[in-house]
Amino acid sequence: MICSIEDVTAGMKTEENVTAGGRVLLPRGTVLTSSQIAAIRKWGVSQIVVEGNEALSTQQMEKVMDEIAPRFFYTEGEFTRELHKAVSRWIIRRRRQQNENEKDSASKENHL
Amino acid sequence: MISQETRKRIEGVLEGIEKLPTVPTVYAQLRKVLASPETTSRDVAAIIEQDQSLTARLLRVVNSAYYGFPRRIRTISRAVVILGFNEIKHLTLTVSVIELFKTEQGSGVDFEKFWDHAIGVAVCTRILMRTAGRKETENLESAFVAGLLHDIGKLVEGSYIKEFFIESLDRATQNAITLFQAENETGGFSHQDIGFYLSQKWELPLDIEATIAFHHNPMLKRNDRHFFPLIASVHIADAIVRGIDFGWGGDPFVPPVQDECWSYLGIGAGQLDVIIEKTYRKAIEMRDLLL
Repeated sequence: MICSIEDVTAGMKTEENVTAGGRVLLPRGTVLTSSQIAAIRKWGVSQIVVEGNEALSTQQMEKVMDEIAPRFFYTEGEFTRELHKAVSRWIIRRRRQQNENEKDSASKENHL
Repeated sequence: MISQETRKRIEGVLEGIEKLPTVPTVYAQLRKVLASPETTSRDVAAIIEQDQSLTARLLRVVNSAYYGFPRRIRTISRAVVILGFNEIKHLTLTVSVIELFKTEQGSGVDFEKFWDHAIGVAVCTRILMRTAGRKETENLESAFVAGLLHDIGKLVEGSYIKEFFIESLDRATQNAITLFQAENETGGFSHQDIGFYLSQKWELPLDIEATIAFHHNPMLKRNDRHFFPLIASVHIADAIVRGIDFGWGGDPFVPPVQDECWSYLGIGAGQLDVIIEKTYRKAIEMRDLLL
């Protein structure tokens, strides 16, 4: 999925290398952190290819959707179904980002 | 509108309350001078600058990333020139009402969480209206403040009819129902009615009044082409912000959503992800600025 840099958020995963002027800034498969997004922005990259919603595993989605189902107890319909899914994807991305941050700080500690 | 009976009941409830807040002074003065076509940005600035803390807060907001102006705006009169009369009027209302209801007054309820929800709905309403790309620019200007004030009735309840508010909150928790439902069961009225009462007393702009009064029953205003876009947007924004669990609205549920409001906006479901991300990011930014 092609995504404008304005809409890119931490936790998204790149599906192609992010390049600027022939230089690879980030390899494909990177889970983006906010500092990386700020950096590629500074390089003037205006859009990147990130993993689309369809790439999230069904199992993962089902788990989070079940987890937050109680919130949607009093509402139903088309919009509610879409919102339920979108919120679940958002939660998955946020958790992935948190994991990434933890890994990051753990590896920094190891270096020390 | 609310029935005669409900109105009487609310008046009965609120009658004994002498200190029901009056409309913020600076906002009232602004509204008055802005009715005249001869008003200048200096006139507006002079009114706002009487209140130093309001002035400082407004300048902080207009200089924030939310507006993203490239250069620092140092004076209110400059801000008026850049943002326009209406935006300044709405910002004044925003900042003054938050100040007025910022802290809980002994009901033991965390108002800050209610404000988080309100701020989330405010930014989300604006994002929705921009995404929908409607031409009703007048509504777009009201989007933020309408979202911010949609639940103002709850804060009035929490400050001035605490027993009713606490009983409703308890009822909502014990029976696992929405606060809206619990309020109606407790007293036969809800925060929509209380909010409507206050907005009439304060003579708030009519689109904002309509949003406060109908955000849970937007279809009653389906044929009102001036107000429906705004009411529908707040209705959907309310659901989104509850969906991502940002702030607190008195119960843990997404309120019942009318699909027609969503289809009216004409936004594709595929855009929801971006709307959610933006809402969350901007809401956090705004919360740090306003609270």
